[in-house]
Amino acid sequence: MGAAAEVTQRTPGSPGGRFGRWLERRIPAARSVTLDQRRIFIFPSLPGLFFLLLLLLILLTAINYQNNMAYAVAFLLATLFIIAILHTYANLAGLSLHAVSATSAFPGQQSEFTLRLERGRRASHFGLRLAWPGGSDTQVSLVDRDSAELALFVPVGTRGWHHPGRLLLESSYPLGLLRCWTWVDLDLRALVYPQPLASSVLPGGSSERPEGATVPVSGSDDFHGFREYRRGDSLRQVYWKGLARGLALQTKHYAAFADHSAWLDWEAFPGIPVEQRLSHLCYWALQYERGGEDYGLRLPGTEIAPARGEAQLARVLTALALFRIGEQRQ
Amino acid sequence: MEIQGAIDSAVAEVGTVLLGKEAQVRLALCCLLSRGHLLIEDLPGMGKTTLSHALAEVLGLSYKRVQFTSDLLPADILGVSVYDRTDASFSFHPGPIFTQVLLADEINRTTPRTQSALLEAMAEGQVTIEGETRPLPEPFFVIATQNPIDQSGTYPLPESQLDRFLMRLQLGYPDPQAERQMFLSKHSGQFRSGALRRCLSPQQLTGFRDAVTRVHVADSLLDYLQRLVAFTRQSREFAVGLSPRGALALLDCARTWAHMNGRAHVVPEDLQAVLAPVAGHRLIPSGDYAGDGQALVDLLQRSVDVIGR
Amino acid sequence: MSVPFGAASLIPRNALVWIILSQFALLLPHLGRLPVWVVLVYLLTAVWRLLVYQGRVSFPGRWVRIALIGAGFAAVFFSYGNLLGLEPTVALLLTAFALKLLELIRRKDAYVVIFLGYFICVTAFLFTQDLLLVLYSLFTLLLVTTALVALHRPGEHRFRVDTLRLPALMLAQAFPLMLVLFFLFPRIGPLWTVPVQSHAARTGVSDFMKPGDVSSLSQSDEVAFRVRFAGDIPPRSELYWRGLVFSVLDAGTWRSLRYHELPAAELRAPRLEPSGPELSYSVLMLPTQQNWLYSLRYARSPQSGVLATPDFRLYSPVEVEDQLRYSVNSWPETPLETELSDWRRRTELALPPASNPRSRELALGIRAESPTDAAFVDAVLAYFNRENFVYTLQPTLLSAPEPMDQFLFETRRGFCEHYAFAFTLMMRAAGVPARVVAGYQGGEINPLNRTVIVHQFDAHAWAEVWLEGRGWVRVDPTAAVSPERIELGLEQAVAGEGSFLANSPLSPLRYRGVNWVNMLRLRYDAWTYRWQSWVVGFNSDQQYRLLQDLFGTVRARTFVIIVLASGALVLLPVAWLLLGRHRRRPPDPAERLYLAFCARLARRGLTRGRGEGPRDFCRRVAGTDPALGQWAEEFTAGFEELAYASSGANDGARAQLKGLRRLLQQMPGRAAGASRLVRG
Repeated sequence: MGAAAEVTQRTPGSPGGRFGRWLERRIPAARSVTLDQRRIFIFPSLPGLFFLLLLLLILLTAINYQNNMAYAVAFLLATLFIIAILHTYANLAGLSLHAVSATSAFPGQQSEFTLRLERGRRASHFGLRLAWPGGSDTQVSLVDRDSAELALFVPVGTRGWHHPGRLLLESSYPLGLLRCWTWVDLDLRALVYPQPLASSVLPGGSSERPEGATVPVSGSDDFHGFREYRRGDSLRQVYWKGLARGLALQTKHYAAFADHSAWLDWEAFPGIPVEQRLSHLCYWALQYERGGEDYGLRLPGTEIAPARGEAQLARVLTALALFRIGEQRQ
Repeated sequence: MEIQGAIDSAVAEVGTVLLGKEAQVRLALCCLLSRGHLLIEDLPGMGKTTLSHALAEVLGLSYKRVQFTSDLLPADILGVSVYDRTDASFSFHPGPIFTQVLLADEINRTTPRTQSALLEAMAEGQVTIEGETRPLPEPFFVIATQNPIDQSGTYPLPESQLDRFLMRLQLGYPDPQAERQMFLSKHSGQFRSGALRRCLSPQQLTGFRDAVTRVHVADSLLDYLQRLVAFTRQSREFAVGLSPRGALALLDCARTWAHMNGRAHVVPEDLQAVLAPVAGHRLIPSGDYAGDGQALVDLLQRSVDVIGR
Repeated sequence: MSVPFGAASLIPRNALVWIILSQFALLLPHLGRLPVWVVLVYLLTAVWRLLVYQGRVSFPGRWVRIALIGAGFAAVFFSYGNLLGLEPTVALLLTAFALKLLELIRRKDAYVVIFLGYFICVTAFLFTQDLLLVLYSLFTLLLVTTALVALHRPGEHRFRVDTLRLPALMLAQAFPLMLVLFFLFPRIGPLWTVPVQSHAARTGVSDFMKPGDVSSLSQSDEVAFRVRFAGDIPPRSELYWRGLVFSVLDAGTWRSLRYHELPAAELRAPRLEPSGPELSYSVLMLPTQQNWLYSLRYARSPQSGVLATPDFRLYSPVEVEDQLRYSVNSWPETPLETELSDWRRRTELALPPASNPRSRELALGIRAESPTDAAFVDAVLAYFNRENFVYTLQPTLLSAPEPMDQFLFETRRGFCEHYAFAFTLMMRAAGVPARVVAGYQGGEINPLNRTVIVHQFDAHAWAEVWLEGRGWVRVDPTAAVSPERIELGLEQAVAGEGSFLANSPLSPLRYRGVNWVNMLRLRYDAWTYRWQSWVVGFNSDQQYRLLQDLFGTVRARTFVIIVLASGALVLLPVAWLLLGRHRRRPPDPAERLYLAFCARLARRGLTRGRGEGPRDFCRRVAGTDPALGQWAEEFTAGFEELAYASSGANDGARAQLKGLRRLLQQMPGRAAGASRLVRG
């Protein structure tokens, strides 16, 4: 594989085509966005169009009955509609959106995108709806608080970086007659791991390098717990403080797991296509992690030393997810 | 002014054992007088221990030091209940936390579990052991130290927990003159308990707190504070802006600082004096900003106008 | 709080309460017109909906709803007899409005109810456009708009009064532009005919009269019309507002001539040569559902749509269904019809044969003693004055087959129509052409805006006799019996009797004696006059005049510019208020002064950095230019005292500010030596 193509997916439904490119220029991607007139669009909503019909009806009543007060109501409501443009706009203006984080996910799962919404000069913002096309949507009001953190879920596609596309933020507060909205690109992306795929071949085991089968107990630094003193335990490890408090004689027990560590090796799957290999490796990484064993990863150009725990799993899966994926926009 | 004199003598007294660090000593004192916990981040051997012990001495407070290691357990700090055979009941053996000034040395060496036990006690001013709540002494200060360089095998405090410390200070190397003087002094870095004179009486200590609440904060100053806070929230150099709690801490310290300097009102310089230690650890630069926290504070101070337009 | 979006399309409880509140508020102005069951439907649906909210009952099923709607239609039909008039339509709307509450589940249902609410608010104006109703409707509009706002605040599950604040602000912001549109929007005629009030009562003087009619009208304190004179208001004894002329006495009832009874030659109103002083005035008449208009005698109106009749009255070809404003010129001294046609003479002398024989006999007797017709008139008036006739609001009911005989010789208690009847009868019996005129007499002068308010109780009947060479002469027999009625008005005339507005104990007119009540009443009437003439009666003529007064000749282009400019003028402040980047509070005077201080130092090359505090800057200034040091320190200390040490504006602070301003002016000049030093 020569030039690594950027493998990203955009969720269907977000603006594309010419409008998308125009949006790209007008509202460029950024980790945090403060909404101003360049970014906010406004148009009568469906109830707003019905409201205009109602105005027409009242106006016709006024004309046919030659009724000046009916005229007055028609004009008052028409002006209210115009004033509502400003109020609806003000409900969105000044808000700022910040990208906080995105969780990694396996294909077909949903990634959790965390955003923070901060209020502007106005004391309160009501009825803000946030949605990623194709993902979940949520409604939030900022009243008596400066900011709110929200989680939105977006289904992810295949391995690599997943860009959820533009986020829709809309509101029709206060009257619901106008819809005010914006599309923001928060420059958030979620890592999509390879799809785990079981394989009969066990990659590596404790192959090649004899990875220390036994680790000297004293050499370990990992404090594990106490256990009752047994004859032969080093006096240096006796928990003297406990003894002083009147507890039974105990020794500090250090972690000294001398279990074997496995290598997940790219070369263990000869003749299998790239994606499938990664899927197998991913499967085994999960298996080892579940089994509580140390495991390392060897990919062309990458090597991760054996360990276990969440951090190790994340390291390994990230390496697998980003294998031969262009590191654009990082 | 009586209180100002007391403060000056306390600073001078600490200065006899910690040379050339007057500014930091003042800030540390300001932190403690604002009833906040202090985080000192520096390399070993810069006088972190000396500073904390000396502060406790001049304030006349009881002092204990706990070296945080990876095998330290929450019970090692908080204390345990032990079954006493003689009167057939459990008796509580208080841990080192039951003191007025606690030096938590190298707090990032211990596990998050132990860290959070300490942080919880700091936040609540009490500890709960085996379902029983015990109040901590009054006042209660934690001075925690952290080694920023040697990170291997450590558990750095999470950013959200840094907020629990009112100030973060760096001591830094002493200036050559002070260092020279240190070489010649007879203490030669060794600090013995009881060597320093107590400078503030308990009455003065409680009276100080009351006086601080009476320090006047004008609208113009609040405007300046709000401009500062708004800048951290709006500017793209900041990933996270100053929280309302952070802003409040800033104002609190500025008040104390003003009172320490014998003023009944807060001036912008007070706010600026405490800006770096109070805001430095609460501000996180955004990904595309090259500078560190200190640079960020400088940027903040330079960019926000003191006078409103 | 963050709510999943599906739940957000439900109606917050706060909104529900506001919707129910606005429904009842909208019902209130219609109460008097509606059958009782509509109110019951409102109560039922509101209780039902609240029980649903409490979870005690569920929403009605589809069939129940259909049955309820069917029942509503049927009930309206049975109450009104049809479904097409204005009242049944409004009743139907209101019923539907109430029933919709039972399917108020999602947000779109709420939109339907709220939009319907706006429309129902308008329907109230089709019945009356009274000032009080308009003020009340502003309140109902506020309630409906509040319901709309509450609908868009998700998650508010408790009733909150403060929801009112934003809609009140928005309506206040909308108000000025509404006024602009109201006065500038072109008024056009009706596009098609619409159902009108069918049950509306015809008020005022009717086109026939029998004894007892006018006195019953006198129980009403409603306003009939208001008049504004261009010049001085004539004395009230001259204010005879002619509305109808009754020329035919038919079975004990006086009535006017029907159109078909007039011969072709008599159809056109004769155009007289006016003489004597001219009165110019405009009448603002409230709806009567009748055709005739009121005016002083010999009246002409320059207005199209106001026609003259052969008996010198004004009338409108269409019934007055809405308030009508017309201007009139009158020449009271012009003789009316000095030449009487044969047909006219015959008509005005006709009497039913052999009725009221005693009255006729009396008339003939008096005529025989009088040398001329004029003397005869005086003699009859003298007779009324001499004999013990009583002017009363409570006349004895006349039941005999010959009512005037009974009145003149037995009861002798009567109201104006009795005297007009008897007098005209006697004139005709003696061969003098005479007729009864009905209308109003007098009126109340409102000193606040110089209008004459004519109430229903000013209704009056008098007579006109035709005298050779003088034409039709007004004769008021009531004046012979009770001169107070004409000079002072009905209230004074019947004061001894206590019968004035006896049926309306709360009428403010009864308390005219109480000074402040009277002032308040007159003040309100003055507002009403303005309201009726300027707002309710605003039409294309007035609009044209207004535009001309304000902007000169109005062309289409100027008109568009005016509309756009006034729109912008009204909207810009709102936009600025909402969106402008303005400060939280006005700039502090001390800070402004300090900025001036910095500007002065900047001219000397000492520029304060953005983040540099006053003390730091002062220290730097003193360090760089010792000549300025003391001054800068003094100023900085003063500024610090003002800006950071003192709280709020008080007299002390003002004095300090003044001192600081003076100090600013005393900036030390460039010392000659120092500058040389720098240059050297």
